[in-house]
Formats: sequence, C-alpha cells, structure tokens
Amino acid sequence: MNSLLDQFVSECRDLIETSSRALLALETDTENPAQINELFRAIHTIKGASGLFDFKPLTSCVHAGEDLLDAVRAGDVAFNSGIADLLLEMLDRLVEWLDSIEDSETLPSDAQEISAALSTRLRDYISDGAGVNDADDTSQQTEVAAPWPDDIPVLEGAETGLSLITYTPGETTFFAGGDPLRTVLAAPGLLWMQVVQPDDWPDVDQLDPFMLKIGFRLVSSATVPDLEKHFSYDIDDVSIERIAATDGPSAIEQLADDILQSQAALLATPQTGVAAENIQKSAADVVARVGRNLNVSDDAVGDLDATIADVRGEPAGNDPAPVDKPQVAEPEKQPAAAPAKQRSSGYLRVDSDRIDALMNLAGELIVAKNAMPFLARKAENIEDGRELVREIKMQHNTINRIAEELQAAIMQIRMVPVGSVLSRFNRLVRDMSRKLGKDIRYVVDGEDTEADKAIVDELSDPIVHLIRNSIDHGIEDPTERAEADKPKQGTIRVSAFNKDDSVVIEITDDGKGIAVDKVVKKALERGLIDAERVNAMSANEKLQLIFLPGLSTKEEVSDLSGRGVGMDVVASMVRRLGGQISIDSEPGLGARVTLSLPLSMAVQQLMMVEVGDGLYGVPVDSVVESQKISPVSIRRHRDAEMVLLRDRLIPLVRMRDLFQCDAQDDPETLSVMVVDVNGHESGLVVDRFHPGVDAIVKPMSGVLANYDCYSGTALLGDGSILLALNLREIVECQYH
Amino acid sequence: MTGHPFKALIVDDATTVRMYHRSLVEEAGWATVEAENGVEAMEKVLDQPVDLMFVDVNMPIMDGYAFIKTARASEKVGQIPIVMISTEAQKIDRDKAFEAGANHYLVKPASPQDIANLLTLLSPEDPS
Repeated sequence: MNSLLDQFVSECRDLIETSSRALLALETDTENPAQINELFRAIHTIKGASGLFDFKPLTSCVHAGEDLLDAVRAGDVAFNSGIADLLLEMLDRLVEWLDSIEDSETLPSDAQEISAALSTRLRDYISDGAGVNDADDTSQQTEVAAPWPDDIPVLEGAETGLSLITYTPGETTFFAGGDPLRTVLAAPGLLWMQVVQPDDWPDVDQLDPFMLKIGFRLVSSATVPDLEKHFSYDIDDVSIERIAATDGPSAIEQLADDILQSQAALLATPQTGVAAENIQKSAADVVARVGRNLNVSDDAVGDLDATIADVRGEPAGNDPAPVDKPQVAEPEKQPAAAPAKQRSSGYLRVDSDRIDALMNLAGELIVAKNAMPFLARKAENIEDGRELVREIKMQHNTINRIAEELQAAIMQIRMVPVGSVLSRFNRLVRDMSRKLGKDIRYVVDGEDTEADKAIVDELSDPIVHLIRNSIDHGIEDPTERAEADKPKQGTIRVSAFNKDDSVVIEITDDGKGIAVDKVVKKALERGLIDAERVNAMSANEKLQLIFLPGLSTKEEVSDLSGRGVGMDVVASMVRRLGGQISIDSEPGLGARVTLSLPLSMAVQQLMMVEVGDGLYGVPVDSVVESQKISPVSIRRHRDAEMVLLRDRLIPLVRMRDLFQCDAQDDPETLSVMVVDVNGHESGLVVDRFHPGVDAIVKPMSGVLANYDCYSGTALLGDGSILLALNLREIVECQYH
Repeated sequence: MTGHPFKALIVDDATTVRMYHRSLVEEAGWATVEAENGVEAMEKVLDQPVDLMFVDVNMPIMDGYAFIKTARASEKVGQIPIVMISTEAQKIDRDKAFEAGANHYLVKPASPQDIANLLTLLSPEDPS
C-alpha cells in the first residue's frame, strides 16, 4: 500500500475514534457545542482526505454525514439518539471500508449501494429538521451541484473548458406551456445530459403526473453567455458553472487569470491598518510573480496593475501601496545561505516494530553487560590481575549507566496513555446496556496515566470482560435499583493511576455486588476447594475464589458475556502480562476489580536462587526478605509447614519437593526467601541465594508454555539460561 | 533552480492532506514546512520566512481565517502570498477567504496539475 493511502487509513481510524467519543458524549449532553464542533471537524477531515483518493461512495456518504452535522451545528436540526445511531452506523461502515482498503486498496463491491442508502437516510434528517425553512431552495441546488462533476464521463472538448448546467424546472412548468426536455436537447454545444430524480418521490398513489418533479444536468462546450441566452426563459431555474480546461497549455493561463482575478477580489475587500498595507504588497507581489512567470511583458503587468487600481477605485498608474516603495513590492529576500533547517513537525510517526527492534538490542546490551562481572571474577585469578579487575569494574559501571539510560529512553518512547484503550469502551457500555434495558454511565479517570505500549495493547481484552461482567451481572435493572433506593442510573468507573512501578486499573461498579456465599457454594460444589480450607478463610479471601478456573456464579449463560469469559480467564490474561488481580465487593453496593500491571514488560530485576542443580529467577519486586532459619524453628500443622518470622506466620514452600529433587540431607540452616504474592507472604525454601541480575524475561513458547510454574526465560551474561518463576502458580501449587 | 529552493508553508490539520500537498509541492522542487493549526503555523513562519503559504480553513485551536488575519497584521510576515485551500466550492466561501486576506482560493482536492501550475506562477524571483 502506498504511504499516502497508509496515512489516510491510520488517520481515518483515529478520527473515527474521536468521532465515536464525541458522539457518545453528545448523547448525554446533546447541546455541547464543543463536542459538536469536534465531531464535525473529524468528519469534515475524513471527507477532505478521502477526496484525494478514488473512494467516491466513502466520500459521498461522509459528505452527507458532514452536511447533517453542519445542520446540527447551525441549530437547524436537533441532535437526537436517532441521529447518533445513524452516525455510529456510518462510522462502523467506514471501519469496514477502511479494512477493505487496507487489504485490497478498494472498497467492497456493495459500497456504492450502501453509501447511497446511508446518504439518503442522513439527508432525510436534514430535510426533516429543516422542513420549516425549506424555502431556501437555492442552497439545496448548490449542495447537489458541488459533487456532481465527478460523475461525468471524459468528454471531448474538455481542452477548451466546459459549462456545467443544473436545470430544475418548476413543478408547474407544463401548465405554463414549457417543454423542458426539448429545451435541454436543443441546448448549444450539448455534450452530455442526465435526468436528476428528486430525493422525495411521492408514493405512487399520490403522484401527480402533471407536476414536473425531475431536473437535468448538462455538460456543454458552449460559453456561459450563449447558454444564458438559450435558457433565457427559464433562467431562474438554471445555474451555470464554468469549469476550466483540465490540462493543456491553456490551463496555466486560465489559472493565471483566476489568480489575477483573485487579487482584484482581495483588494476589493475592506481592510485597515497594517493588514491593508500588507495585503496590497502581497497582491502586488503575486501579480509580479505571475507576470514574470508567464513571461508577459511589463506592459501587460502594467495593464493588470491598472485593472487592480481600477477595482480599488484609484487612478491607474498610481502606487497601489501608499508606502515609500514606488514599484511592485520586491519578493522577500531569501536569506543568502539559510541553513537547511527543515524540521517539518515536532512529532515522528514510527513503526512500532522498529522501536521493538531497538528495545531488543538494548535488552541484549544489558544482558551482554552482565558478562562483565564474570570477566572480573576470571581476572581475579590472573596474577597481578587486580588492576585489570578494577578497570573492568569501572567499565562495567559506565556501560551499566549508559545501558540503563538507553533503556529508560526507549521505554519513554514506548509509553502511551492508557486512555486510548479505556475510552474505547464507551460504545460497548452504551450498546450493551441498551440491549439489556439498563441505564449505565461509563466514567474514565486518569486517562493520561502512561504505560508501555505492549501492556496497553493487551489491556483491552481483560477490561472488556470485566466491564461486560459489570453490565451483565453487576448493575441491576432500573426498577430493581429503584427498589434498592439507588439512583436509577448505574455507574461503571474505570480509574487508572500509577503506584510504585506499576499501573493500577480499577473497574468499579455500583451494582449489586458479589454474594460471597454463592461463590463459596459453587467452589465447594465443583470440588475446587475443601470445606476445611474455606472455613479458615477471611471474607475477602473467599471472594478471591471467583478467580479459580471453572467457577462461574451466573446460573444461566447470557448471550452477552457468555460462559467462556469467566473471571478465571481474565485472571490468567492479567497474570500473563505479569500483573495481579484482586476483587472487593460490598453486597448491595457494588464491586471493584483491581488490576495491577507492570509499567513495562521489558527488563526485570531478578534475584537468583539455586535449587537442586538449577538456577531460578524471582522478581525482586516480590521479594520481601531472605532469611536463614534453623530447621527446628519450623512448625507443622497437618501437611503444611510454617515458620514464625517477626510475629508473622509464614507458610513454607519446599522448592526441592516442588521440582521433585531429592531432599537436602539434613542441612544446619535452611535458606528461605520470603515473597509477597497478592498481599500474602510465603517462604520459598531454596538451596542457596545468588546475587540479583537484570534480565529480559521472554515468555516461553511451544510445549514449554504449558509449564505454569515459570513466567519465562532469560539469558544470562555467561550464556546460560535462567528460568523465571511464576510465584503465584508456585504458591498455589502448594495449596492444591 | 539554485541550491536554495523556494519554501512553502502547508497548514492543515489533516495529516493525509498535508502529506499529499507536501509531496506535490516537493515534486515541484520546493521545500516545505508544515503546521497543524494556525498557532503552529504562525510560530513556524515567524521562525523561518517562507515564499508562499497554503492554508486550510477548518482547523482546531486557530482556523485558517484567523491565521490569515493574524499573519496579515504582522510586520514581518504579513506580505507573504497566501493560498487558501478548502473543501467548499461556493462563492461565499471564496469571499470569506478574500475578506480574511487570502491571495487565492483553491478547492480541495486540488489536482496535481493545478498545484504544479500554481507553483510555477507563484515562484518568487530567483535570488541568484
């Protein structure tokens, strides 16, 4: 696809997004002029840009939308939900067409038909709304006249210029003895003719065959005066427009003529002060440029000057500019050696693949840098190697700093506001709540909160499910809400904010909340948990059971949220992104789901631990502390082992058991790494602690992707591979 | 043409349209400067004088009319010829452009031939 078309598609998609947002805002605040303007401008821009390509059905349908919005803007038509629906339908269609353009550079074959139908429906609103002042018939005519030269076939005679005639005889023409068809066919220089049907054909039983409903469009090679003479009896019903020849040597002369006439028109406008002076100088400059570039003699330019002076009501030959420069103003002097400073815009649109490539390189640099401590250690063994060790360490520090800055700079490029994703769901809430007969307001807070593009792109799916759940299961019917003494309109609020090194997204609704006992009952029924464990849980812990795979509290499957998208699916999506999910609910008052996601999926700091013969990475963020404990301090409760650390009872996970290695033979001390998973601390019993390392953790693919115990792999400086642990799974494994 | 090409400012909020005009103008051997709205255009043109300006009508922040009026009131850049480019083809729209102070008016989309001819006609005197 060529780059202009590419640009068009991407810009249109942005504008469609803007338009939908404005449309939805307008539904709650129908007379907000800022929103109407924004909407109008977006649609206007789409129309303008589409004119650069041969997508006539798209252009004409958007044009109809623009006209409707113009009428809304002018106050001729009142905005209502019907208009909103229709415009949204148009936007949906545009999205479809853009997809097709992206795939095949053409519109679908039915586009013409659909566009015509949509345009008619859009224009119906204009005529309905403006019914009162429909007497303004001429504007209607010019509206139709503007786009129609596009339908004309290539005609002979085009090199000398053509006249376009729109002829709309009055309804009573036949009674006045007129014969429009004969008049048309006898028009001088007739090249092409088309019958124009009115938009508002009456029904057949109301049709009066004696009333003339149709009009004509003609193309003629004759000049305007000749045509005016021919149509002199019907001149009020005729509009004639001259179009210049499309190319050939006369085109530039025609343009020169147009430009010179423009200068006359410009100088004829009332102007004052500095502007008046500047305008005169610029017009004089334009005249001089045109004169020089057309290679006409100074006399001719003099004549033009005279014409201009004439228009201004000044005696010819007088200086048109009342300043000290007597002659035509000189064009602004070019700075002799202007440096080639050509920054065209402050922004750069870059393919995200290129940034990803840069990011991967930075990642490799960071990994490569990790090799330096290994080198330093090697150097220590060399005789007199101390100086070398010192130098390597210094270099390591420098490279470390640069690599970190480089990485931070690239991350900054990748940061995008989450708002673009969040505001997208306006439409979803609207459509779905309508379908369910609910009244729901969608509010977004903290749209400006930024996160890595990769995270933001992946956010959409889990949030869609959560919002759907809120609409479907959370918010009650208006009647139910009224009975519960709640405002009729429910609210779903999505708030985004930064907390430490993560971005937090809360989805809150003021619906009926979640019944903990139902969740527990389901979990027990399905055998997902045993009664004893449940009894030991706090109310909030019980609520988190909703994330267990296979648990859905809704009795029947709804066609909207469906059974496939249980909370467990959402939870696993979030965890795949390295995030955490939790839920709060106050029965009767609503529920809140909190997603906490890393700002970036890129480099992670990992603590390394050794278990058996393997090295494993634990995200530093999750590590609370590392402790050596004596085996005798371990307390046992049934199968579970625990240790008391500073008044906290911490359950232990024996990593050797988990990885099915032989147990260590009676060590004197145990190494315990205390980690925090979703606010719960657990102690991982490992063989040994190792230093921390910066690594790019890449998710595992293929067969290995099924090993939930690992979040991914990372390459170490010495070329070995580190498995990063998925703590959540490991802690849960222990329970099951 | 010398080593220092003429320079045109292209003001339009639609990236696609700007790109289209830029490619046509650059094809004619001119250098281009771009701006997305009147305010940005004013900043750009005060920073680096140009030989010709192409200005869209409908733009956020500062529209084409307001920009032309502002430019015309400036001692420094008020004399630069301005061509207004708009999707509207009616006479009233042309008149409004001239009232604001535009030197010429083109209807969007302007054909490549029109732009090429326009640039030929409106080339300033070569400084060399």
